Amino acid sequence: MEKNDITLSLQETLSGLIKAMSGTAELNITKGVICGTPLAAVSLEGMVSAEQLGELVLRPLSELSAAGLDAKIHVLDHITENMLLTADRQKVFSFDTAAEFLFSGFAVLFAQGRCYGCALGLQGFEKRPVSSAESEPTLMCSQESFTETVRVNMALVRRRLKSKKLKMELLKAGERSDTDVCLMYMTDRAPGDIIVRIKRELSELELDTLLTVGALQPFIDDSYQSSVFTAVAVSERPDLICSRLNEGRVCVLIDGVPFAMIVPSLFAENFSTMDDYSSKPFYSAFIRWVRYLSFFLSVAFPGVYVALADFHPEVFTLKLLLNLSVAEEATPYPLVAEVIMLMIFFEIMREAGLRLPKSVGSAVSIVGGLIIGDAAVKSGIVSAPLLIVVGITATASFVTPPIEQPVAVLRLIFIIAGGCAGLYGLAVCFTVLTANICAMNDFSVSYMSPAAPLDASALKDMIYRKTYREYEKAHTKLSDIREGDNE
Amino acid sequence: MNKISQLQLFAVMLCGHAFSLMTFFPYTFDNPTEYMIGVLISTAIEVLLAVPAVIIYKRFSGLDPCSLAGESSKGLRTAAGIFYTLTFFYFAYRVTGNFVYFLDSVLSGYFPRALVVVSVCAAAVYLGLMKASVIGKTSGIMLALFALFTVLVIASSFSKTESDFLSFHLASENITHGISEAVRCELLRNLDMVFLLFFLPKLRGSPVRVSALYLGVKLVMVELSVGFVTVMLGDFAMTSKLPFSSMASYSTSSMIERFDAAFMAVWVILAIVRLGAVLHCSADCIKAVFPKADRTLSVIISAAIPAAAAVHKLTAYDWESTAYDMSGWLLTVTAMLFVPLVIAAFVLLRERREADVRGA
Repeated sequence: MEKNDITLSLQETLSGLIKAMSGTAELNITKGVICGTPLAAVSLEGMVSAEQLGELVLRPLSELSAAGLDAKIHVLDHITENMLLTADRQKVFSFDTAAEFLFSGFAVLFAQGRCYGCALGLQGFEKRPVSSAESEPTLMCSQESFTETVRVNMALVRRRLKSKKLKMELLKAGERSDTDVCLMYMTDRAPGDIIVRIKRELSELELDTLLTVGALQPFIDDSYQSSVFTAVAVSERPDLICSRLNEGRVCVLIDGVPFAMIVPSLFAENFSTMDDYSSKPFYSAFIRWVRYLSFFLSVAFPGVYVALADFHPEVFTLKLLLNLSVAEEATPYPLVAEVIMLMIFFEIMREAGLRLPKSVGSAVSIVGGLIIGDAAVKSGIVSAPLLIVVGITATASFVTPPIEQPVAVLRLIFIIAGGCAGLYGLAVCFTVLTANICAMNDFSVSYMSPAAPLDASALKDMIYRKTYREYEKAHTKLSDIREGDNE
Repeated sequence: MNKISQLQLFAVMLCGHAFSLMTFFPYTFDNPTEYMIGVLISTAIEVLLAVPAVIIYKRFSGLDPCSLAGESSKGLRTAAGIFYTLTFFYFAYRVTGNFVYFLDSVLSGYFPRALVVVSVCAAAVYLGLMKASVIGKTSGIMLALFALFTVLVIASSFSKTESDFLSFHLASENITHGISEAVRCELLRNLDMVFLLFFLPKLRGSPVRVSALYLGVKLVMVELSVGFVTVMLGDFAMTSKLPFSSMASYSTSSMIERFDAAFMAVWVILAIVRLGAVLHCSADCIKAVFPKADRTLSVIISAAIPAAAAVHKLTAYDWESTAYDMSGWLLTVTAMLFVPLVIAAFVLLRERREADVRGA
């Protein structure tokens, strides 16, 4: 039961509200007398549209004042029950609820003689328009991406998936931030236990604020602490989210974050893009295998190179071995030290390019890649073949952006393992890594599905892209790969 | 989810046997044909050995031997636990020792033996601590890798070496002795059968199908591999310490000069998977002896004690006597046949006694 601390006295109500909101500076109070009753419109500067407030609320109230009102009817009752000022209109009885509405971009009307307020939805805060997806660009698919406003994001999804089965639930999370979180799922396909679990985690979340997707991930992803990869994927593409929702995944939107979380996700999904579904299957299959190869190159290529060159040179053909030998002879440091040095330098360049303004960012690659790289080879600090290896590795790492963070760390581990113990070290690392990934089993869905456990039918979509005729017969569904469901 | 699927259990067992296969061919024989016949006979015996495991699984609602023994008495459970723990210790001892010995003596002498033991045991402990399904999934991936590697090596060796089918001969001083030796060797090398007893209770699927699949594919895999190596290397296959590695050394392509380094990588992976599965089962057995034992500690102990014993033997430069000693074949038979039957007999006896008491 909501407590009622709004009084009949307008003055007392306003003083109480100001006090409840710690006298915040952006509180905007417009007072007036309508039909003989003192009335105040309270809003937060920048949160409501001043234009809408004037046109949709203040002007009709002024006109009401001029037209006059039956003396038996209180003006606030009339506004609340009879006037269609805005689509979103609710009664509030406490300062806490009033503050909540004000923080959400509502204007609240209070009047002398009534111990409630009327909240009117007039949100008009500045927001970034829907723009193209920068972290997941595509050639032949929708160019729209999520924005920071959760309701806009909900609309972006709804526009693409006009199904009655798509349910969107608005929840609150963050003890102080009180952030709007939208839970989206298909009622007939999403497993109930996943929905219940996410709702429980959100309701039990004791974080003060919820400002990033990363803040929520550890509470939903069971293997967050134990694995280098994460079973909770993130995307800024509404079309991808719709596709995942249709498979039975649960997606989470957080207000203020232009990304949606996909629960659960699979390792193989890091290698597919929406463009795959616009191209012909043969090309999609080809490009998917290019991505698998890129993943291998980005994680293991420098490590394998170091291992082979230092411990197993017999693997190289004679000509290649001679070339490599000549190049490495001229450098002053051990090969493994050279590779680590170059890889760390690459990470520095990448980070610099990311943090710097875009106009300056491109200069970093020119300075780093061309000038320093060229100078390092000419001065004999690093060998030219090694620079090629690092260049290929760096380029390959750009192919799978969703997993670039674990890849960067794994690459270093593989280099150290390869440098210390050759292919033996790499084999040990590879086995441990594989076991680590195989152990990810969030929500009874193996992260390595459909390869492990083997699901021949679903595996087709990993090896090559299924045709739409095949999708017509059987859409990919989460229930197909859930271990619990298949028992 | 701690359930293991049919394919995953098959992969665990086959990975284990692939490690044996890649490690060495017992060179106590005059020719490979004897060994191939021995493999065929031993597989027939293994079919018989698998029967008690499957029957017990079906009759006693999927209990492993130690839990089944617990149905009869606490003492029997402890005894069964101790027996199977020691069996797995011996298994781990052989895997670790063989791995370190062959890595050190044939493949690469770069690393100190102790460091190799520690690193391989650490990786196996990590795997052993995982659920059965994780070991199964990892094995599945590794098995695919092994298959890919084998195909690559065989394809690459065909281009360079001359196939000599005359190597399949039966010229031997004592063919019966040779074949019986081969049977015994193969029975010991297939100690992976014991996994059946401890993974079956966690199986999601048919135990008959998984046993049949494993034994069938194992037979084909061993016969084909020995056949290919024999065709490629001739009698040298039987004298080479690591014939599979020798074949990989002969293999060549325009991109890769030799495949033996790749062989080593795959072999290391299979060793870790096999040892991981052993440690997993060993921890289950230790739990039967000490029900309150911490699983992590059990797995570590299961790795540490056999590894220490193996290192002791290795540092005395006396491992070859163990590696090529095939007298341990009786362990496979005892662990798969006699002990489960004895346990089942005790449990049935108890059941009958209880039924009599109820009837009276």
